Amino acid sequence: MTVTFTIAGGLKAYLGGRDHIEVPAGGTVAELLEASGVQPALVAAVMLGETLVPLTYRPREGDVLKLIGILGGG
Amino acid sequence: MLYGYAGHILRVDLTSGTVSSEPTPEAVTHDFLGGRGLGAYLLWTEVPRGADPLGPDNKLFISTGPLSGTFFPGSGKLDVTTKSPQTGGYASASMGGLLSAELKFAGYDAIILEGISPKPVYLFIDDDRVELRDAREYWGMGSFALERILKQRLGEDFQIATIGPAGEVGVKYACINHDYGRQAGRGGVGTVMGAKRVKAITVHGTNGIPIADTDSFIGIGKTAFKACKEAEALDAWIRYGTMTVTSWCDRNGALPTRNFQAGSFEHGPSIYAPVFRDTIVVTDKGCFGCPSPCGKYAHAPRYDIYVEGPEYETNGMLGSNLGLSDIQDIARANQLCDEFGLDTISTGGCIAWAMECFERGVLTPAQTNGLDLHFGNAEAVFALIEQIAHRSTWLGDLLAEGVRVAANRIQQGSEAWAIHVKGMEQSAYDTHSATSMLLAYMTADVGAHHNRAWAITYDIAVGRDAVTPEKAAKVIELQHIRPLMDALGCCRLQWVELDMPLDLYAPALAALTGVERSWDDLLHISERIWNLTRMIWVREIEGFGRAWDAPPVRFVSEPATQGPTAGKYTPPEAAQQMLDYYYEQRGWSREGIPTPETLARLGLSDLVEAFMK
Amino acid sequence: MRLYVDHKRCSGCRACQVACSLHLFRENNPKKAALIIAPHFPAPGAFEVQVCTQCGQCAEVCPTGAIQQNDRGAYAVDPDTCIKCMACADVCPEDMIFTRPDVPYVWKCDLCGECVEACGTGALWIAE
Repeated sequence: MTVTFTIAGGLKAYLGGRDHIEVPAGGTVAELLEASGVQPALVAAVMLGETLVPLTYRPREGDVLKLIGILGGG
Repeated sequence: MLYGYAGHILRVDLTSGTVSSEPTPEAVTHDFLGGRGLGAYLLWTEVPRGADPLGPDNKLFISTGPLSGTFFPGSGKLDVTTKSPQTGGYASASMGGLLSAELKFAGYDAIILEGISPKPVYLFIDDDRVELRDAREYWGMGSFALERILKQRLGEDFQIATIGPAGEVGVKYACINHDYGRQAGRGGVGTVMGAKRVKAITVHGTNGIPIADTDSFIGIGKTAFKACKEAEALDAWIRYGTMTVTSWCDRNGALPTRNFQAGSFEHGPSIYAPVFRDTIVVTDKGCFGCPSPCGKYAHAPRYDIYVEGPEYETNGMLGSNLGLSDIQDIARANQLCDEFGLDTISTGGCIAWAMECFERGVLTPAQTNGLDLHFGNAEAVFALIEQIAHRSTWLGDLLAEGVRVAANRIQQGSEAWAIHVKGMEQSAYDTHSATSMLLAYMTADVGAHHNRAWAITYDIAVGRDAVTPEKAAKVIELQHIRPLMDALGCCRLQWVELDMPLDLYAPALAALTGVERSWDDLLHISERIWNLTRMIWVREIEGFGRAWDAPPVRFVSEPATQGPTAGKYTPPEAAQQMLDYYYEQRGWSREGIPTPETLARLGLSDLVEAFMK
Repeated sequence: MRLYVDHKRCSGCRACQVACSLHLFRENNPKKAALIIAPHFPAPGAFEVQVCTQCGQCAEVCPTGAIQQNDRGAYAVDPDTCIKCMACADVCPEDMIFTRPDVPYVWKCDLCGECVEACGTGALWIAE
C-alpha cells in the first residue's frame, strides 16, 4: 500500500532529520511530499532506480524513490 | 622539504624567451596555501598597480594546490589568476581535468607567464626539460583540434591546455581549454594568454608528490573515497552530473530564461537531465582523482560533434537564456564555444542581451547583418558565436567586449538588460527572488559568478525575499569554504553534492604537508585570501566601492515575466540592506573597503601597504 | 583470481593508479602504477582500462623465480630477486610488466585490490 521516499545525504537536515518517509500511494510525488510536510521546493531530484522522475510522477505501491536535495548548487 | 608540494615554480619570461625555476616560497604556502591563494598573493605582489591587462606587465599565474595530484577525492583542480581584461579587477578561473596533477608530477607547483612573446609560442614541459616552442603553425586553430594534434605529436600522455581563436583576437571572455572539455573559463584568462601569444601549454611529468605522513594520508584518503562511494546521491550524480538541477531550477524560478526575463522556461522539460542523458551522452568523464565524475561527454548526431557537455551552466546560459529548447542545438553551441575558446556563460549572457536588443528594436537587422536574433533561433546563435570568436562583424566585435561595454556603447536603455556585476555576465541562476543568491552575485570577488557562494536552497528554506543578517552570514560562510577548495587545488563538489565530510580536509592536509592546521585555521586563511582579492579591486579601480557591488538592474526593478517568481523582483533597498549586513559582518566600511582592523586581524596590514601604490 | 574491467564505467580519473602506486611504492605517483588508462578522445569518447589478467606467462619465463603467486592468487614480483632482464615483459600478452630507469626491478599487479576500493564508478572488480 505504501510508497517509500528515502532521503539522501544533507537533505535530511532540511527535513527534520528523517531518513525516510512512508506514505500511501495515490497522488503525484509533489502531492505526497506536501502531505508529509515536505516542501517540494527543497527536493532537487527524485530517483526511481536509475531514472530521474519529475515531481508530477504518480508513484505506484511499493515504489521506493530517493529524494536528493540541492544544497550547495554548483 | 615542502611536503605536499612539487617544490618549484616555473617562471617564463616570454619577452626574452627564457625560462627559470625557483623554489616555491614556503612562507607563502603557510599563509596562502596554493592554488587561488598563491595566485592572489602573486597578483598582488608582482603585477604593478595600473598594469594594462593585455600588456607586458600583467602576468598569468597558473597554480596547483597542495592536494592537487594526490590520493584525495577531487584532487584535479588548477587555478588561473590574472588581472582581468574584462572587468579591470581580479580574475580567477578554476579548471579541472588532468593538467593540475601532471604539472605537479613534472615538478612545478605553478607557472608564471610574464611579458609578451614576439611570436606565437607554446610552452613545452617534460619533467625538467622546459622549452618555448614555435607555435606559428598552430595560430588560428581551434582548441581541441590543436589538442588532438599536440597529443599525436608529443604523446597521448601529455596534458594539453590551449586557447582558441577567441583568445588570439582578444575577445574579453576568452577561455583556456583542456582535456577535450574542461575550461578555465571566466574573466578573460584566455584573453591574457592570447595577448602573451602563448597558444598552448603541454605538460608531462613522472615524479611523485612527497607526503609527510604517508600512512595517515592513505588512511584519510581511503576514508574520503569510501564516503563518496557510499554517498546516497552518488548514482544520480554520476548519471546526470550538474544537469540534475535544471529541472529544480525551472521549478523554483531560478532557470534563466530569455536574458533573465524570468526564472522558468516553458520548454524546460525538453532540456532536463533525462533527455540529455538518454539522447546524446556517450560517457562519464571526470577529473583527476575524482570518484564522482560530473563530466558528461556527448555526441550530437545532428551535427556529428562531440562535446563534454552541456553542463548546467551552459544548458542555462546557451539554452533557456537564449530560448533554445533542443538539447542538440545547445550541445552544438557549447561545442562551438569550446572550439573557438569562449566562456560559455559570458557568451550566453552577451548573445541574450543582443537578442533582447533585437526584439526591442534597439539592434536592427542592418546592424546584425541580416541575422534574425529572435530568442530561440539556434542558427543565429551558431553564427553569432562564430562572429564573436573572430570579431568578424560589427556586432561580433561589439559583443566581444562584454555586455557592460556593449550596452554602454549602444545606450537606448540597454544598460537595463545588461545582466552583469563588475562587468562579468551573471551565471545561470535567476535572482529576481532569492536575496542570498543575489547578494552572492553582488559580492563574488571576480564578478557575477556563482562559484564563491550558492545559497538558493537556503533562500527557499528561510524565505526567498527575507532580508536578514543571517542570510549575509550564510553567504560569507560559503565564500570562505568554497574558494578554500580552490586554494587547496581540489574540487568542492564532493562536499557540495555528495556531502563528503568537511572535517576530512584539515587532517588530510596535515598528513600531506606535515603542517598542523585546524579547519578554523584553513577558514582563516580563506578569509585572508578573500580580503586580499578585495584589495586588488580597491587598488586597481579608481574610486572602487559600493557601486561596484550593485546588483544587475533587472533584478531590482523588473518583475519576472513568468513562472514561480512571476511578478516579483527584489526591491533595490532590500539589496542594499543585504549589502549593509554583509559589509558589517565582514569588517568592511560602508563603502565595502576592508578596514585597517580587519586587515590587521588577517595579518595583511604590511602586505597590503607594501604593494598598494 | 584477476582484475576485471567494465570500460564503460571508467571516467578516466586515475584514482586507481594513485592507489596502486601508494601500495607498490608508498609513493603518490600514478606513473608507477600497474594498470593503464587509455583515453580514446575526441572520438569515440571512451576510456579503456588495461589490466594484468594474471595469466602467469611472466612467471614461467622468469630466470630467477622472482615472480611467484602470492596468497591472493596473483603473480607478484619480488623486487630483491628480480634482475630486470625483461624476459617477462617480452612475453607478456597484455604489456602489463612495467619498469623505468630509476627503478631497479619490474613491477606488476599483485591484486592488492586498492584500485577497486578507490574506483568511484565501480569500473573495477576482482573475481575468478
